[in-house]
Amino acid sequence: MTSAERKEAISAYMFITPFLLAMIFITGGPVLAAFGLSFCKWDILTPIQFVGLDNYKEMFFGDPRFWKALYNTAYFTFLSVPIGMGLSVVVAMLMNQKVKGIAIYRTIYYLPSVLGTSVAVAVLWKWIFNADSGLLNYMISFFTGLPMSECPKWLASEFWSKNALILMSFWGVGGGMIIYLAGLQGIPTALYEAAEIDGANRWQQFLTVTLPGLSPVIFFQLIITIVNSFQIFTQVYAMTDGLGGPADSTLVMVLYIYQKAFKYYQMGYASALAWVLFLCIMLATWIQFRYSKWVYYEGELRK
Amino acid sequence: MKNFRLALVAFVCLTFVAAFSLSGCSKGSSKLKISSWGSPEENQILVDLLNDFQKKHPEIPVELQRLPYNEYTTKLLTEVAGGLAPDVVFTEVGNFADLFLRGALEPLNPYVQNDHIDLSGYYPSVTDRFTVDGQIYVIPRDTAPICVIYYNKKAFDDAGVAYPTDDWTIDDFVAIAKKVMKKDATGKVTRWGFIDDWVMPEPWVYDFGGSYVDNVKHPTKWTFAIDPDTQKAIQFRADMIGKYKIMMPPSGLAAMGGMGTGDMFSNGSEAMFISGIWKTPTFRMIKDFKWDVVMMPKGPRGFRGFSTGGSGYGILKSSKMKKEAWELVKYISGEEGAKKLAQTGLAQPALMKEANTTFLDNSDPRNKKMLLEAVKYVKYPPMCKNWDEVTHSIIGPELDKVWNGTETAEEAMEKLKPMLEKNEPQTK
Repeated sequence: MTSAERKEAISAYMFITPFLLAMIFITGGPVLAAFGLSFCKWDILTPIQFVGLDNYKEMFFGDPRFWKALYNTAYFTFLSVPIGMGLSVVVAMLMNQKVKGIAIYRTIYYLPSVLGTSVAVAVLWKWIFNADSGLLNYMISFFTGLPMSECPKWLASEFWSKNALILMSFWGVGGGMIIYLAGLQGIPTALYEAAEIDGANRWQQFLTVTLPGLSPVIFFQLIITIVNSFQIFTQVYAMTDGLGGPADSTLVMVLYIYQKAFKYYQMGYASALAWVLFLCIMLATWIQFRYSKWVYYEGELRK
Repeated sequence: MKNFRLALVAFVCLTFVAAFSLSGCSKGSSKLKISSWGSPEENQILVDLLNDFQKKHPEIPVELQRLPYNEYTTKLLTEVAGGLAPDVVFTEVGNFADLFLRGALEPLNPYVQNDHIDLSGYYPSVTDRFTVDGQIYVIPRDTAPICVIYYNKKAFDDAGVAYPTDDWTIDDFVAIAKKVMKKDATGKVTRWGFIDDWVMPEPWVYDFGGSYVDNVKHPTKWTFAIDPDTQKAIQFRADMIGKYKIMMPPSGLAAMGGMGTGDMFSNGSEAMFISGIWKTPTFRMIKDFKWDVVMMPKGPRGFRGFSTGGSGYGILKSSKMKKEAWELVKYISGEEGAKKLAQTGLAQPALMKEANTTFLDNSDPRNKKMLLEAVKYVKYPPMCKNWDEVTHSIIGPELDKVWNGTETAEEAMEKLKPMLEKNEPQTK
């Protein structure tokens, strides 16, 4: 290692040190405690009781709500992540045009992400989704001519409630957009010029220059958004009063963990659920890294 | 190189800041701590009482901890586990079981006997709730039968329907609710006949003579899915939505964006509304129409039963100032506390003397005297740890389908049977 390399390594470690320390001293304890608790029965007040694998056995073989929560979470993730990412890329490309006042457009598209997934936003969406007088059904009925009583019942319907959550998640495409925009601007124009000289049309340029150039950003976004959507909570909690209804159709994993831990005081079982969710996220991330050959890093030589 | 050093300095500083903020946790004080929940109006009653108590007992400094109702028990249990718990706790019929079954409450018989407190002054049905195997754990503050149907007099006048009386039946109720509804030219309902404060099957279950468990004090199994009267009651609530169409369907309710059904009563879009008497201070602010209350109709089998709220004050076992805590409990759940409470109209004091006098002043709602009768018919949730979980996570989701009309009560009960058998009431 040369001295420059060493210096670079030290700087890198220092950059991650605050997070690492926070991870070890603040998150680390609870994570380990939760692992231990997942083999116990504990209702906060009465003494902790070791029960071995009972919590996990109950979860996999005796708890239909666990499977329901897992299914709901997976459904949400597998639909909201790809569609949301696609939308983000499209919006980012639009926002990458050189037209007058583009900064204003970018701001407008980014604004919802500033508000994020707060309770206030969830309440706003509750109004939008109101089946009898909400904005969404008003628009559907306006464009299709369907009476509002025949439009989807959104949050009140077992079938539509999850799709409503997915629709609502696109509220945040601006967050992804900003990152893709940065990625797009990092692609050297020389590559586009070269492609043009070689006779590539716009679509071919997109496939062979834009997408590979954007791939590290897409990879990063994929991992982050999947992790985040596995952990969806605030919106569901606020929109369903913490119940995950109707008929458990919006019961997602974190909400279920919350209910078990803080509504029903089953800390052990909740810890076990949390660990299973953690392993699911680990697995999903590992798969993504394992199959990340499609990611192209600039300056890297393909062998 | 310069930047590198700068980063190093910044890093060291940050680490110190983090270390200090972590060690900044303080220990509890030596004040007598009392915890409670409630609206600003409700809280003010307690604040006034505590100020009076402070004047009488300057030697006992009191500190009030006001918590949100939804997180109340969780927060309390966590505080107990962390050794930071309050001494006196406000508790109600529901979370009393949560605290009692975990052994958090101090038995109060010795204190009561020592001070010769006469508990017979309280409604027997209320003291009974807080008494287990002869020991009393909570001194009652109020009772709140959920049998109060608030009705909009203007809606009745508009429809030319006579005001309901306490002896009405379920059939009268449905017929009247249909008449007092209002629709606009397109057929859209602008005023519903009836609505509940939240999705509330319990009052109907009890009024129909149904049940949730075999024995409320010592439950051994859920009877909810096998009790034919319960099934009829559930079907009745669903019929109010789907068949009689007097109640707003869940699709209107699920997405009201923060507006509660109580607000809909206030703005005139419901003719009748069921809740406890605690809505009174809110509804007294209504300017556009007059209103009164009436007892929930008699069940189809001719008798009555209501679920109920109701609360009181207990002392946590973990308290190190039990003597002082008892002084406070005695004061706030005694006569002066009951009087203050009755004056606001917020609640019916559990102390019969105050319920019969101060509470029955000439203020709205005029017919609140019916509560003196109603308190006889109150029913309590079973004393088990998993009541909340079973009603919200097992029964609730299945009933959602009944309210939505995708399942009948009978079908729901069939599905619930095995689930309830598996999740027996937990009493330990």
